Amino acid sequence: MITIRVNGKKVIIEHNISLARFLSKKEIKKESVVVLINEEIIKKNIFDTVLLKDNDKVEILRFVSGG
Amino acid sequence: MQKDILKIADREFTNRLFTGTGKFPDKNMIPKILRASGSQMITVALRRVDFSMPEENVLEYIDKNVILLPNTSGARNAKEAVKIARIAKEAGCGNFIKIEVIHDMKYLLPDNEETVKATEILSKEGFAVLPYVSPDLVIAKKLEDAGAAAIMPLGSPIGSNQGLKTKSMIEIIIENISLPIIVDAGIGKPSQAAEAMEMGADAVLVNSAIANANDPEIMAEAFSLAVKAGRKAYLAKMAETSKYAKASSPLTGFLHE
Repeated sequence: MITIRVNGKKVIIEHNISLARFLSKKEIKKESVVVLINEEIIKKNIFDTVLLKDNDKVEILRFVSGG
Repeated sequence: MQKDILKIADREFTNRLFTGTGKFPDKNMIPKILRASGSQMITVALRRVDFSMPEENVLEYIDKNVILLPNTSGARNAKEAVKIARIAKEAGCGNFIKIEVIHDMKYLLPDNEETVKATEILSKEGFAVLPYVSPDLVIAKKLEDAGAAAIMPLGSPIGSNQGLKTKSMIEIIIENISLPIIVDAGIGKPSQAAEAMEMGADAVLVNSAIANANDPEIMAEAFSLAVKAGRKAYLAKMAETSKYAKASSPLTGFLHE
């Protein structure tokens, strides 16, 4: 098991989980979000190959209504 | 008459009413108000996903031909605004960005100084920067020098519907700055939108006054008509005002003469 921070909150997950798998477990469509890992924007075409590592800081963002 | 086109950065607009996606009780209203207003640019915001309350992506409700204007709301300084802008661009939102740096939570007034800093950085990176500011000519000049694509002075505090409380200050900016001036925030009624256009604003951005109306769709149309009326009045150059009456019928040849 590893510990990562997702949107500021501690989350414990299994080892060797890809970003794509993590999102699908959370029932989040990858088309609808922007993801940053350790401040770096992750392109959608590599979501499958990016593995989450211990202490990663993950930000999952999306466009919402606003003026 | 030549077609009246507003150019901001490399984009051309034939409609001078811009809208926002905020505060609509139902997102299905967004495509309807886009149609009713004819708006060609609309604002969106970027936020963390709330896992307990997953919200749909607002982009799904916006026609692909409409230019997205992501805002940097939530940014408390230039650094945060720059970060949000870069994420929005990377996310495929295009290169337009509305800089909004706010840390005053009572009036939601923008931090003009930090806004200039963010504008400088992002303009150099190729963004079309539309800074939201308190109307101040000195700041507007600094923004022009910093490479802003347009300037968005506020009429009154965000969502207050108080109208053009800062009218004289905006007029000074319109007179002295050659960039497009878009009055943003505080416009509560179509007549106030028309007033802004009559005094020479290049466009207005209206969100709350449409979203909070009892019938947002009809209100979007009302604003659109008002903006068009105000713009035409400005182009037609209004007649002068005077203290005393000036007869519109001849003052000779009366029947009693």
